[in-house]
Amino acid sequence: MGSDASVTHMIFFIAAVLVAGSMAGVFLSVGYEMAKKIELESESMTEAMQSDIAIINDPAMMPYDGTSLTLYVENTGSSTLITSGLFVMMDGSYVNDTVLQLVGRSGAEWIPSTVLQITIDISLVPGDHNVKVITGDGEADSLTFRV
Amino acid sequence: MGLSVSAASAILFTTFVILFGIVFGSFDHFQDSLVNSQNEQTERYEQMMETSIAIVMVDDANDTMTIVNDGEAVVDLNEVMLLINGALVDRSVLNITVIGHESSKIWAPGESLLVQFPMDIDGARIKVTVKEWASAYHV
Repeated sequence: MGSDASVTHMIFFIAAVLVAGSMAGVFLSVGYEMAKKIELESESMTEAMQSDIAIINDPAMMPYDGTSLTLYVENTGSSTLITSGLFVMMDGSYVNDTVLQLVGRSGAEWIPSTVLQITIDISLVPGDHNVKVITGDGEADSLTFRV
Repeated sequence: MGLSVSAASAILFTTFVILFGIVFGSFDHFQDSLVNSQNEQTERYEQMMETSIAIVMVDDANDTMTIVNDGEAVVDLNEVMLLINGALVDRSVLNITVIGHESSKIWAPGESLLVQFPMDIDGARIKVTVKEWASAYHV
């Protein structure tokens, strides 16, 4: 009887420790995932708050030769942006033909206070237009201009 | 039976303490990053509000232009962009100096900037901009 009780107690003890251990493992992994997500969210919010761009063109005299338009976009934030993933909307429509070139720099790293030259192959009717530049990081700026 | 419950409770209690540490640490880091970014953004907005420039004189004969910093912010010369007839001028071909402080790379409030153009600017439309926070035009 005595040894039966000991065995039962031991089984209960092992079962309790195993169940508690498993639950602890699940809780810890969920907590770790949560912490990782919070950190990622924090990084992306920090990045977004430090990033800013501005189209510095002269709205009354755009470099437009009838077939291509040149935009100058400056990184006015404090973080380095990437040029890949950048897109342009002209009068609300997505523009396909864009050529990007960093002024005075090579590579794809767009450091603060440098200008990105965007050449767009587009035919515009004389009058007022609106262009919006959106970076891969989600920063955007728009300019209303006349050609 | 009592020992089993105690052991399980001890394991779970320890887990919750560790879990709290992990999650609290993350929240703390998140809050710190947010506050730092907000401060930086506020600083940038303040600088934006304090930046102002004006074209004082354009000398078509000598292709020079004088611009005054009439704001309250110190401007880095690398942040000054010039567009002539809509086209961005490559800064490496421009000679930009702060009058009275020729070797300086900063442009303090009240100081004037002398820009020497390598091309003819007679009749040209000129835009000067500092990060698009402050712009001045000469038509």
